[in-house]
Amino acid sequence: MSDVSINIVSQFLGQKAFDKAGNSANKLASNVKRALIGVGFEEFARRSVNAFAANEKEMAGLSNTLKNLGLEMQNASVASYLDKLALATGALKSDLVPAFQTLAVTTKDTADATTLLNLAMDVSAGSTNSLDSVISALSKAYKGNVAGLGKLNVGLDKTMLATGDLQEIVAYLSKTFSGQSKTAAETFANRVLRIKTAVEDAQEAFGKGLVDSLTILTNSESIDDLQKKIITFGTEAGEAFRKLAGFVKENETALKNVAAILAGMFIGSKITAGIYVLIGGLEALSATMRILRNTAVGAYIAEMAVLNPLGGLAAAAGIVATIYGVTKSLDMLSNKFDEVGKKSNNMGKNPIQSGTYLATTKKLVNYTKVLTAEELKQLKAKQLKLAIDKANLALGKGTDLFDIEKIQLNAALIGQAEALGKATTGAQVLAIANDVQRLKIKQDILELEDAIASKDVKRIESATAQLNKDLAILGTLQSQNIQLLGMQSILDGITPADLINQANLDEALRKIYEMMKLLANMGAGSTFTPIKKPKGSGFDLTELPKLPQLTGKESIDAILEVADAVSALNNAIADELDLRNAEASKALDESILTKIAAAVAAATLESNKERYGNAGGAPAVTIIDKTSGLVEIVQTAIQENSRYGNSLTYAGNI
Amino acid sequence: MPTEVKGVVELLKASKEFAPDLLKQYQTEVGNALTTVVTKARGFIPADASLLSGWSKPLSSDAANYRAFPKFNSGEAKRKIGYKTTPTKANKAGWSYLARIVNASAGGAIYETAGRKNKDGQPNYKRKSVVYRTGGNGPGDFQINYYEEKDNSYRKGFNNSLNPNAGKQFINSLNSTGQLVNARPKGLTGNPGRKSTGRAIYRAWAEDEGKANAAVLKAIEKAGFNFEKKGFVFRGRAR
Repeated sequence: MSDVSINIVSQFLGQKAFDKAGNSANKLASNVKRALIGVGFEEFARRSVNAFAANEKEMAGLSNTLKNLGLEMQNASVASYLDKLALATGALKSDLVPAFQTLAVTTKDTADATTLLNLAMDVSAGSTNSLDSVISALSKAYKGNVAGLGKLNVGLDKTMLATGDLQEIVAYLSKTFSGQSKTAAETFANRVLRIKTAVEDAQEAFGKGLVDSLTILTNSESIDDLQKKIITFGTEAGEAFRKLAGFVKENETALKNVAAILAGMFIGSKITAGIYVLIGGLEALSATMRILRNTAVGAYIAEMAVLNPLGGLAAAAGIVATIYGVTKSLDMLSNKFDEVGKKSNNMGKNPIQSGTYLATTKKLVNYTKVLTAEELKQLKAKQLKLAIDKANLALGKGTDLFDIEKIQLNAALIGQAEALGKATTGAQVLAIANDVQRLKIKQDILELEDAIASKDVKRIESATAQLNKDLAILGTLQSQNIQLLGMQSILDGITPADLINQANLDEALRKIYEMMKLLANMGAGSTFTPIKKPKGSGFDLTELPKLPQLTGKESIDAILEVADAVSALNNAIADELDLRNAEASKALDESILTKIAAAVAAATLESNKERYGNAGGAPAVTIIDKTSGLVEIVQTAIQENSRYGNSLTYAGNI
Repeated sequence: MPTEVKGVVELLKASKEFAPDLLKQYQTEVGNALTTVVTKARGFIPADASLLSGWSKPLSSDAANYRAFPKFNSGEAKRKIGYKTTPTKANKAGWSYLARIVNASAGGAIYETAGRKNKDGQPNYKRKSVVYRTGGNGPGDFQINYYEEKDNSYRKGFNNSLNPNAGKQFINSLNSTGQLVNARPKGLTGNPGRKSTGRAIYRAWAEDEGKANAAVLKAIEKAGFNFEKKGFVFRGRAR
């Protein structure tokens, strides 16, 4: 279904059929616009140089051909003729030059070649044949092969062709197609083509001017020389273009003035006057621009204006579109070349020979060094600021918790460590751990303040990290949802290392040994049995195992072996001590019990003497049995109950 | 030399590039003018229940390999009535339209236009009657009517229903909720034609009596005036 809509306010944009008439003009306009404005100076310059290079190549080929044919004197006139022909007919020089070259080779005469080319242009314009095909046919016909002409379908009958009379054929063709190319050139389409040709010529000429300018500016003798200098120049060009922005700014007024002059010239379309105005404007520029004007731009526009006003307009338009860019870039190029020339007068030498490579490298290195030093300074400042910020943040967290002084911290820590050793419950351990952690945080804060005062970034970062770590531990300790006592790492961290080292263990062993020794000595002068060395024991406990002092020449294996042996020996001593302690304890018990028994016996005897006389005697103990008959009574009762069926259990018992 | 702009289409393009605030202002003003018509048109869309019930019932199966006759949904039809302020491409005759009011849903478009070409629905195929004789022209004779197939091709433009009065009944149902109204202003020369006739947006446009159109023109002139105040030259107004 078609769109259901109400269309409001319409505008006639024109039918497609109407547009067809203006298509060519529009295309030309867009092409010119694109060439002059849209693509920008750089692209236009590139196209111009390419066009110049292509044209130069073709013309050089033609020139060489003419030279080989002995017609080099005609070179200039031929070039002028081809230029005019292209502008007058709209034909491309890229078509005309090879055509003329073919005819020149065939006829070996520029006049004949010119006549045949004109004829070929007429025939091509008056028929459907391309210029190439007509040129080819005419060339062959000139050599006697007229078959090609017959295939052109230009009205040559077989009889005429059979005669092979070229003069007759040419006369016929001239008569038939006379003025065709001129007529065709006046058509709208061909006029557009002619303008296009002029624009392309302008491009070529501009390219030529650009190359010539560079050649002159660099004092180059040839393109090859220019190429070498451009390569050398490349190392310096970056700096030159960097100055471009500054140059434009400084010369803004002058450039605007030139722009105004050029704009006025083209609005008025007064070419001759425009050229003078242009030249006047150019004089306001630097010496470099004068070179450019004298060598390329002004001369070219003047030439084009004389040859063809329309072509002159187009050519000038092309130049104007690029004049800004040329002004800026060539000035900079010129200045840079002058500068380089003044500094080292080394143009033409390679960078290593001239020393520019080394100088440039040194400059770059120095520049890099300066940059690096400044960057490092900035980086350090940033790092310091960052570290101080972080530290202040951490201090902010920690400062609120404490108000005690640094000097009390160590003592407090030691006291807490001792208290930790005495703690018997988890709650006590937890409380002590919290206190210890707070003390450590206070220590961290003091250390951080010192670090900030010293402005040592690494120290600040380290102190900050430690403070944050301890704050995190404190936070963990204060959390009620975590099994604090299970956090062995925290407890290990706050337990003083001195309590668990080898020296303390050795000291403990020594004390045990001394205790054992005291116990052993307790038997001396008493009735206690002294501890004796058990049978089979191969050592005395006074001979404590010691690790011999190392000389530094022992191997690792030997040290490990000795260490293992000492450990084994210590273990054996511990076992031996356990055994001896057990025996001593047993002996002590037995000794005390014996003494008690003897004392009790003596005391009993003494008591019996007081009670029973001096004879004493053991007290007599008589047991009177008052339970006779009770067993029988119970037995009888049970038997009777069983007999009469009485239950002996409680009702409801299971 | 100031930049010259010819025609409203170019004016809007240039405004988009160089004065987007003007374009936005123009679109807002045109939108305000057209919203009144759109709102009124939405009010002319009937409820589902007001029309033949089968038209708004969902399809029994979506497995058909052809496009079924579009269903009507009142909400969708209302929602898809709107306006556009971007100029259209030029049509074959070379005309571009600067603003439009559209009825974009299929059901809504059918409601809008049904009956404006054939007031009693699409015609039936030529009916071919065959009379079967029972023996003489007696009372036992009977007649069968059937419709000729035309080269077995799809009968576009004709009533394809088994009910020969389907189209008429359908249009009568639509007419019961709203009559077709020609939006062309009275008094203009020439044949008013049926293309500007409808039940929703055309009716609303007709009842607006050109106020929205005048507001759009005013917005264009204002845009051109403001554009010139920015240093450009605006030539030629839309017709």
